[in-house]
Amino acid sequence: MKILAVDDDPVFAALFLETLNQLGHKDVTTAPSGFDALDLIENATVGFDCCILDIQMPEMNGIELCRRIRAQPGYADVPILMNTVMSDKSYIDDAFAAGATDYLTKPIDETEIKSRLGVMQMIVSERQKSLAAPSGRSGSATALPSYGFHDSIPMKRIDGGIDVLAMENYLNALGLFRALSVVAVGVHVTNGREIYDMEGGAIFGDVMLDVATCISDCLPFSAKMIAYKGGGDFVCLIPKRRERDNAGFGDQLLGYIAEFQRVYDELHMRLPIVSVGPAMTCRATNLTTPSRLIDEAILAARDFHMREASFA
Amino acid sequence: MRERNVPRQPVSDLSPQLALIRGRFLDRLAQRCIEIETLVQQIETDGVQVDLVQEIAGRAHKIAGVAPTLGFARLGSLSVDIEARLSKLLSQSAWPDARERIEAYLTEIEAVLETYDPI
Repeated sequence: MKILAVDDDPVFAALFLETLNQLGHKDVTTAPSGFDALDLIENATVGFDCCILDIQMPEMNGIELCRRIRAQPGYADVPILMNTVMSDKSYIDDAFAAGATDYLTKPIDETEIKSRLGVMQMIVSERQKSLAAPSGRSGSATALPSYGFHDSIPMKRIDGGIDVLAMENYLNALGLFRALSVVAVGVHVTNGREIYDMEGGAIFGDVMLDVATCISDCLPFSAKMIAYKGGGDFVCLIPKRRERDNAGFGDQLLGYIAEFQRVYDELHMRLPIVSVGPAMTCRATNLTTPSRLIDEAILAARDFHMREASFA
Repeated sequence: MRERNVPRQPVSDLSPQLALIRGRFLDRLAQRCIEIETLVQQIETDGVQVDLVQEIAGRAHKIAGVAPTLGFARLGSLSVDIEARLSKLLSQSAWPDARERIEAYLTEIEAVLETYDPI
């Protein structure tokens, strides 16, 4: 795994490099600033597989750097870990909103780094496999990526979109107490399997992005996160203070999806039917893993048939 | 006199690479100690200014990120505490307490520097 580590403190950078080497990560490049990091990225003949960024740096902080790396060609899905002393919620929110995948805290904890980079290695391997695999669609119909029914679909082009892994990491980074400040709402596409079987993985991916766009439009504020877990299941994280504004979220979402009716009819496609779950909050049972809230919200959405409606 | 709880780990117990990094850390720590003392003097002269306070917090931040990994756990936790306190808006009336804590912090830094065993 080719790693780019960015930190303006040369002592920390040397210590971090030594730790990574001891953990078996030998292909590590360090940069002392955001501008140097962007130069390295732009001029690399082989792209980096993973970036690890300090947050507090002069001139360009790690959050801005994360945003700029995400905008680089080929870096939309590259794992980015934020590395900092601070565990302040505002930094965590900003980091994940800028596209961070995970969060490490200083000082260096070898066990934590080994565990987190192990997960990143898996993501990188999956990504490399998917890039190497031939597209599931034949011919020149489109260059759309094709997905399996249970695959996660990148939501980065959606306002508030985030990978489900990053959402899990975000919740775990918050911890139970601070995770109480957000609610999770699950959205389940009840006829997702049917759409997938009829239209194939590429079109299915587009339909899920349509649903994600509608979800995002229903949440007209910046502090939101929307992830797609696969299998027609979405989760939205919303600040608790915004909960009251979302009383009509389910009905509004059905209305927005219904606006696609004519287009879908013309394409002879089935309109997605969604079931929206109740707002879920962290409970004591989530003490060690607040990220379980995601699965709970999805299960609630699947069970919440009262909100289900068909516009097909 | 504050209790000094600094591990006296000889350099020979560290890998050559880590010993080198620790040496660089201690060199920079000495510089930062002087810089923090200068900033404190400036605040004493000119009054509490956000930029000056943030400069001290920034140095504590950098120390906090490295010190515990090199065996200076107490210095690490004091750095986190100083950074957290100075990151909040500091009024002039809160300065004497902050200064007292910074002085204790500088004492700890000096204690760590005394352990420096040059290669």
